[in-house]
Amino acid sequence: MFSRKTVIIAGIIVFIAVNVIILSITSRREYASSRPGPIAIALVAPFQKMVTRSVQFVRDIWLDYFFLVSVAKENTELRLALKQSMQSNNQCYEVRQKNSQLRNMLNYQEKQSLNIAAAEVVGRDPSPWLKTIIIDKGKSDGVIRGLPVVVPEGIVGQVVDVSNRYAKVLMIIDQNSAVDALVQRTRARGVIKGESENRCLFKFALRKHDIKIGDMIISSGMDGVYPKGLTIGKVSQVIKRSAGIFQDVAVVPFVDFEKLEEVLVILDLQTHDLDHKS
Amino acid sequence: MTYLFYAIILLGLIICQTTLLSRIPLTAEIYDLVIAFIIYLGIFRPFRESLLVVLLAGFMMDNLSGSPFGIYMSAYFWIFAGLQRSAQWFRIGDSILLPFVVAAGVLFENIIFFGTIYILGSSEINSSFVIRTTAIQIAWALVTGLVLLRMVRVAHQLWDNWHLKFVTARNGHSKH
Repeated sequence: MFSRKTVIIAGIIVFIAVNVIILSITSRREYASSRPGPIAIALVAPFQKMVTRSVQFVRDIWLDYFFLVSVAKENTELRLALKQSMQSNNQCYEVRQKNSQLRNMLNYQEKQSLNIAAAEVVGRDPSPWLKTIIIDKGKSDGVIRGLPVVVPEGIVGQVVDVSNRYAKVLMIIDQNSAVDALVQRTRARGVIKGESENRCLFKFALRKHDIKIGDMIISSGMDGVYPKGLTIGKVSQVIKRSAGIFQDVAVVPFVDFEKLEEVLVILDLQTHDLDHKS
Repeated sequence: MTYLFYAIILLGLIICQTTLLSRIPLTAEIYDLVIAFIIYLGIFRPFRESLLVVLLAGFMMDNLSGSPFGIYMSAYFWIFAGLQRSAQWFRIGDSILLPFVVAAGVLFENIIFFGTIYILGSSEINSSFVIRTTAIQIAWALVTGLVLLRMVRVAHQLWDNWHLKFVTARNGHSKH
């Protein structure tokens, strides 16, 4: 009835259509529900870790033994910075003490300190379009899907896939990431969304709110993932269009995602409010 | 034994891409190296032998990446199938054409990524980032594509020779 050529062409068209439908479904579904499991991570990550360690070993040798010329100068600068930091630290300590006293007065309950696991970054996303990393902590270390990942500078992202000894982290600069956030100065609320390059957008911030370049953005704790008060970045651009109820706000994260080597996984999802911790 | 060779090459390329090149600023936005391997399979190897390897490579990359599941598998399969078909009509194995074939493969993968993430996934398009990243990847593919293909091909020939010697030696030993 149909020639062989027609059947082949029809088959290819059907195959393409099925492929497009499948990709359409997986691209709209929640990350974790659209994949079979962390098999590849478990297979590849040990080799990634081995190579990462080797590279670090070679780099450490270079930095420790062949790069000492600049160390003396850097040492002087660091000593100066340390003095300034000690002064600043003292001021912070005073503020914290005062804060603690005020909280006690308001009968706030002090919660136990954050349960944190330090992890090493062993691999990065093979595609430049997507921003994920693989860390060397997994189920056996208490890491589960959804846990927040941070560094001292601020939020890194969220665990999206876990194998026994490794986990995949979706960074906040990925387009699929969203963090409920606040402008620290004015408490204006919005959502931090990734924007591919090392930049984020502070979306859904109302036009009426006062947001200026240089304002600090922190996590609000309202998304149930990131504890309140973690730093995210600084406002780098504010555009108020003539129409619309929101303003466009660009944010440069404090974390240098290109140079991430170690991260901290906050294991205790129950303790959400950093303001409550001493 | 051929499948062991494919597994080693695949693992090597993935690790090189996700741990070594991503640490160097200049090569952080290099194209997907596995594409060169898929193109090698598409042009120089038989369909039945390679199909499973192509799908497995896609599966591995889909799991390692934060991409929607199936995106790498789809890209690799269509590049592979397209090359297998084209190889019947054109001499695409020529050295002059190969860099352009790799560049075309990179462009095709980016189109699939672009379509899935931005159009089907309804994410917002950052056109300057898309154009810049794609241009960098194609430039890298034109410069290094041929070298990478040659390396895989030579490595496969060496592997086959070594395997032949190993089998011959073992057979000779068992006859004695």
